[in-house]
Amino acid sequence: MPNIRVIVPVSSSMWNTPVRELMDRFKEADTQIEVTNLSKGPESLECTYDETLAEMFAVFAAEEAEADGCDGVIIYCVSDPGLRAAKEKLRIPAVGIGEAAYHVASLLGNAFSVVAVGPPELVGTQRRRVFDHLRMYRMDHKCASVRSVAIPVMNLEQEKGLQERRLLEEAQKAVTEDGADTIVLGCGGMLGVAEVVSEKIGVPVVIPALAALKICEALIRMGLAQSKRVFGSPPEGKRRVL
Amino acid sequence: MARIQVIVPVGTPMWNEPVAQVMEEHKAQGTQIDVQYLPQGPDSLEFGYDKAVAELPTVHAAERAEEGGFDGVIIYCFADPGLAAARESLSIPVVGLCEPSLHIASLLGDRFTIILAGDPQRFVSKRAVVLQRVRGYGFAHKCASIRSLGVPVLALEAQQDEKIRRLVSEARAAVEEDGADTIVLGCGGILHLEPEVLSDVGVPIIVPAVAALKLCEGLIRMRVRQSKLTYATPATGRNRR
Repeated sequence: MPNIRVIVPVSSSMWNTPVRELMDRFKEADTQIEVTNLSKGPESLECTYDETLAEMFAVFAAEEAEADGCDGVIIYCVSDPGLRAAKEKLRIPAVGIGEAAYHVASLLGNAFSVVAVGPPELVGTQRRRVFDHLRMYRMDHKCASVRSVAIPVMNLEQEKGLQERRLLEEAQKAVTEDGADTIVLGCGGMLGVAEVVSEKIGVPVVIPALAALKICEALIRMGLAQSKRVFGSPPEGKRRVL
Repeated sequence: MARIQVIVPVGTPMWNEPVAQVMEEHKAQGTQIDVQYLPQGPDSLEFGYDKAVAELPTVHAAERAEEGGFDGVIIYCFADPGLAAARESLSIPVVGLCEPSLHIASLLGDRFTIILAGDPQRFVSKRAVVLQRVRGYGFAHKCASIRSLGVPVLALEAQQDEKIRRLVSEARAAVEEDGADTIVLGCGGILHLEPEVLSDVGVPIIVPAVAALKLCEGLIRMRVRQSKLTYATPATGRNRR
């Protein structure tokens, strides 16, 4: 029975229940899901600064998951904070919802657009961050554009209507102006809005949570995890003063 | 309940049973697998020519699968014959073996090596064809090398010991000489591998059958399929004799 721990790398617990409900709805019958947030860290990750502050705690939470006997870990933020460090430190598969979503999107079409969230003044920053990650994953050539609904993460839940309307607008522009054939939701907090977009615009919409869940389940089922040749375990017995 | 049609795009039923077996072993609860081969087609796909001959009946088999109410199709060959055409024609997800394997490989490491099957005399030509495909999927920069077992596809089932011996030695050489951190098996016929064989080399070894199965199940479960903007349904009412 695969046991997956989902780490929401923010100090707010507001996402735990909705994320758990979403995962439970789409998991395989014998998968067990636990969702945790961080005890310390930013309440949302909307820039590299936030991401950097969250990384260490996300890695510690991933280590704890392995120590508790989990079979896989999902880092639940599209910016995949601490993912590479967790892949080094852990022997169980560590999956980020960003990396997983980009792979699923490129199975469905030729060029995806990411529709991000965050304050309006940080739209350019979101674009730069997504491309930073895509270049690291060497998948930037599959990305048509990065757009944003320009709503701060913390407002997503109460501004559902606005979120849906803005997402529809941006996804439509991504298709007609940027040549996208697939949309990737750019934040794990965009919940319950994918279906209307795929219905109205007629392109597949990748929900990063589900991409990560399916890939994590797949890796566990295949008995595979990150290659220790390139994600070598950090040396033990070394001082790391915190 | 997801029903997946696996099409082995060759004119021999010899793979039906081993393929059904590997699928049954790894499928999720509630997945139903049906494996079929082509009524007409080459014995194995080892040349561009073989692939061309196999593509049309493969696409037709995929169309029949959709008509028959299947939820997804796996084209069971590392050459992914007819994949793009089937995606155009069908409204259910279609996956090949090569593409999902490369995605799984690049989630696990930085550089993969593909180990093919086939006649050693024809290796250079086959490597070129595979490299073109890897480039087409946008993964060329992640490919450390392409090697071969040097065992022809039709001999894979009979030469079990030789197959495993060569697999381990090629995988080790890929890691040590070519800098690979992940191995992709480059033929759907490289089967019956014990977990010990797979873990022996010390890097992840991707069995395409399982990568394809898991991603097909995943797409079905996520209720997504190929983008119809890029894989537009072919116009009907035209003569295609």
